[in-house]
Amino acid sequence: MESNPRVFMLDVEHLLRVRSLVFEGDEGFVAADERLLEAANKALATRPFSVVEKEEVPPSNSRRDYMSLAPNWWPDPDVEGEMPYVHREGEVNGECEAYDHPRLVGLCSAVGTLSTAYFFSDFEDFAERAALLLRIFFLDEQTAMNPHLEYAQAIRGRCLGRAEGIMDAHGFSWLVDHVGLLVNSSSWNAEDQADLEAWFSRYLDWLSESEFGVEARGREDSHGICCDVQVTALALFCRKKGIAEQAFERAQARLFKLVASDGSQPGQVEGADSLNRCMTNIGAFFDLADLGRSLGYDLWSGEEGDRLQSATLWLINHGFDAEWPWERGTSTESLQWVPLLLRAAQRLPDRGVEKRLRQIGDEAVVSDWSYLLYSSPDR
Amino acid sequence: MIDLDRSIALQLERTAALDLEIEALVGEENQLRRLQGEVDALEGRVSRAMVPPALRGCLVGIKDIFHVDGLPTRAGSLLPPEALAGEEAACVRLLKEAGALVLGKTTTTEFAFFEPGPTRNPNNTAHTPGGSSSGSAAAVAAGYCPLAIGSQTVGSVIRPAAFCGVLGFKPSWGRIPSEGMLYYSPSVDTVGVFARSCAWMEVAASVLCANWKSVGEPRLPTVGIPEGPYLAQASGEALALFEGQVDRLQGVGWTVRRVPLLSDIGEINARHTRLISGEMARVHADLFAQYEALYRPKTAQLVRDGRAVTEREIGRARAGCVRLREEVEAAMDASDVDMWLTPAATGPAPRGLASTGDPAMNLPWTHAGLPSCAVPCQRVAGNLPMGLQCVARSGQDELLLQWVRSLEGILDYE
Repeated sequence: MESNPRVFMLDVEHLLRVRSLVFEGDEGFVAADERLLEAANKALATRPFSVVEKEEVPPSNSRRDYMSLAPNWWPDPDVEGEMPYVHREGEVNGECEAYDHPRLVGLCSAVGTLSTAYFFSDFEDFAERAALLLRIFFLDEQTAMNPHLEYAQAIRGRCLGRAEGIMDAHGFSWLVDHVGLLVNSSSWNAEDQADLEAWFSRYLDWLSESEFGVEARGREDSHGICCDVQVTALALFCRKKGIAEQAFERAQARLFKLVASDGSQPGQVEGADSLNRCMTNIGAFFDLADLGRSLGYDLWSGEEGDRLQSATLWLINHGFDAEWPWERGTSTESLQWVPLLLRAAQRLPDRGVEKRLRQIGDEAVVSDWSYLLYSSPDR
Repeated sequence: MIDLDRSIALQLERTAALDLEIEALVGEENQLRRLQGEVDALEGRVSRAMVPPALRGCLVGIKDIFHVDGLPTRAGSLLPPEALAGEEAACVRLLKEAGALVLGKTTTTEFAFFEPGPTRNPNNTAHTPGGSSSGSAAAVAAGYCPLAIGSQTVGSVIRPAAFCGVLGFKPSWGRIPSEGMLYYSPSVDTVGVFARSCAWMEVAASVLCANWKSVGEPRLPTVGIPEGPYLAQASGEALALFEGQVDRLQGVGWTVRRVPLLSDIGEINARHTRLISGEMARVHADLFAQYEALYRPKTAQLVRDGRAVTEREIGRARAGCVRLREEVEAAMDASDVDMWLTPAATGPAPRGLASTGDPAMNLPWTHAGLPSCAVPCQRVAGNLPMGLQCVARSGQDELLLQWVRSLEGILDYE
């Protein structure tokens, strides 16, 4: 007897319905299925990631402590020793590559691809690889990360870590859903699950009690909302519903602080990379709305729902339909919009979102594997 | 103290003369100078070592799909070597760390597929040495080197080993690290070894295989003969010779059981073919887009055919590999068999160089990722060697080589 996937962000019923259509060979999902399996076949060759691989030892003297550098901070050429580092808006310092952030991102991406592909195929080797990656990153005594981010986004000569570093682990909010897709795999057993829940429980304690966690929660920008989404998702994963509800309610209130009544994000459009920042924020509110479903809330209704709808349409109008009038930073390809538009289309029927998807091109849309997660089979 | 410089110079001289006909080695300018440099570096290292490395001064041939620092990788193809370049292969690094010296690159069929190279069988130069690891098998058979590295995707180690009359070991899938090789089909590609004797094979395996553990002298295995359509793929000549060897083993007290197995061999063959062509097309997607005209016809056709294989089909085929391994091992449990024994090839090496022979006897074991070893056992008309193929459970590579050693005293092979 198979168990339903233990997910909080994804919609179980939708997943099961699409899965059975994929297994029946439904033509509407063949392209997305092929792209997903192609990505997963490649991910099978992914080398395990571990924080102990970095060369520099963190100040704690333990390589098992996560460590990353703040991306926009650079050596100061005008000072002997080039420290303290100085801020350069929109420019990412290549030194960051040698630290743990790329490993964490790589892990979340590979586990996401492999576990989703496992769910839609039952190919055990995908689950086996995902389980191996998870064990090495979180559970193996020699290679596991310690459950905190005290040394995330350090700035040389200024600080050993920052509250902004919590954003580094934004992928954890999704990772726990992806673990839930492994529920029927023989490669991921009850002991692994319990150990991972224990790991995230300790990390959740750190998020709640540490100076950086408290500071991030108090922020009214991307850092605040992304921290709350992490706490909500991880608390659900760790079966701590009370904490999840508190974080959800706190995050829900952010909608009115971050988004104006016309749907714009006034505090977020300044500076480099502002379009990506605004997209991240809307993505985080979508995540929150999906998590809310697991808690019995409906963020798409009432006053909050109106604000979220306005925010979504404002972003599409200004970022997708037209040239973003503020500083863009990195370029945004139309394909990057597919998951966001698919999610929006589910919630905002008859608001023109489908039209934008058609603009991208049906072939491109149905080839994106997020189509398996968000498209209605009726589409 | 061995004078490595002198012994290598003599060996190169002998090899060069023989290789004018056999063509097992990819030509290399300044081979002697390169090797002298490697010897100097090795001797400098050895002089500081407490224990001399296991393969000190041993010459090894490396199939030309593995990257070796300082030597171009051509993979038997017409593509420019720059397009194929990469980091030195992990197995080459392990051999070098253990004191081995790279004799040179050995010939391969194009990208380890079926387009043959120029290599001749040292036992009878009118015949193929088999492939795709043609040069590695021939180099060991001709006495150029006691060890050579090859790879197997269908039967590219076991078959040429049998055709050339040397030992060929294809370990459990993944047991020897494969990084730094030009892949053909990553889900089944296995790095393998050719050796002149069991002793050399065991040293090489202990250096190359991850977590190698010495197993001492195990009891004799109970041998299983996989009866049914799989075995029927062998020629009458190969089967008659095989039965003779089985009688011989029983005659000296080995227990032999005949067990129906691989009744669905047609399906397994088809699945494996689709898997490797699908993966080949993906591995070569970028290169093929740029250099299609330089691919030889059979290889080009394989890549084109492989494009029609879907990702889901590849996934299913890979799941089929695991399922087959489980089925074979369940049959071993049920019939109390430790090791399968089969002919290593459907017959002796075919005449001519147009075909490298039929890998049908090796395919299901490669598909299942099980360790197998070719053991030379007899010669037939034309001085052509024939071999047996021994197959063990996954991960029982150490036991397999010990069992093969037990055969050494029973079968007539030099």
